[in-house]
Amino acid sequence: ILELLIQRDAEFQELMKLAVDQGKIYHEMQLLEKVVEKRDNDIQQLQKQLKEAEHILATAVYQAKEKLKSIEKARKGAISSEEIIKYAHRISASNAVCAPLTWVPGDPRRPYPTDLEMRSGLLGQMNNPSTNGVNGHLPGDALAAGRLPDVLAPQYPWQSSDMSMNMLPPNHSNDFMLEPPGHNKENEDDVEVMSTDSSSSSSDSD
Amino acid sequence: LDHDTGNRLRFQLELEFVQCLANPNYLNFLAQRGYFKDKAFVNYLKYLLYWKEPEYAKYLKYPQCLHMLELLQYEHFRKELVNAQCAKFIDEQQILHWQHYSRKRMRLQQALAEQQQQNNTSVK
Repeated sequence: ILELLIQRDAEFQELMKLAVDQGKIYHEMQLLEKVVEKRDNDIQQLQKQLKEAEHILATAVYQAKEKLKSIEKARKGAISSEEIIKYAHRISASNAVCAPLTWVPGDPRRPYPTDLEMRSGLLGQMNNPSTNGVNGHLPGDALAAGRLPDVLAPQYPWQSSDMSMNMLPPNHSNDFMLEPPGHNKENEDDVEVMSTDSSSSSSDSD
Repeated sequence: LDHDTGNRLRFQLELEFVQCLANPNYLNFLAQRGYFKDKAFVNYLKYLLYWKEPEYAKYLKYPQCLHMLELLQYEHFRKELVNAQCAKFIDEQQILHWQHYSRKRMRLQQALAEQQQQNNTSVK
């Protein structure tokens, strides 16, 4: 029995050793777990910071792009201040955009070209059939719309006598209809309209 | 050379015509004669939008015509212009707006004059 006891004790001792070892290992495991947890936290923290940094950078890049766009836009619209002043003077000195200070109802002046101005312009003088062939359908049409009598008159400043030769209206096409045929027909109608008698054009309301 | 002259002429004609669009009575006139129903004319109005570009707009004495031109792109507006009251209303509003700065200036001048009077009396 003593042997058994000794045996049991030895086993017990071994088990105790094992338990202690296991305890140590368990303890180590716990330490390692803590370390792992700490590392996890670090990683999460870094992740957050990266995300934030990305966000800030993205915003900065976006704003920079917007800035570049507006710089480009401003550059495209760059006009010399002299030109702007000249233009401002032109449209205000003629009372085109601001009424004259002495204006009262009954004054024939208007913020748009009046009958008289329209008649004395180039459009008004285009009523001659001889000049009809120079342009296509529409200016003649507009002219017919005005039905303006042939009047010789001084040039009004709104007709831009200082225009440069290089100014070309875009899309030089006389055909504004969707279907190409019938183009000649339009010119015929044009001539017909031109030869009708002139009725009074738009009247000014006072 | 002929081509150039033609272009110059066309430029001036279109310049004149686009500015005529600032005249609401003329628009009423055009509407009543059915010009706004003509597809070719409507296309022409769209084509005239090139006057909005600064290199062309600088030739306009009546830049208000550009606003009318923009409005004319809408069929509803073109239809409304047949009515004389519509044209009259636009005309009245245009003239009132035209007088806006003159009136503002006069009010400023009046205010200044009153202020000066007050200063004079207070100095005494």
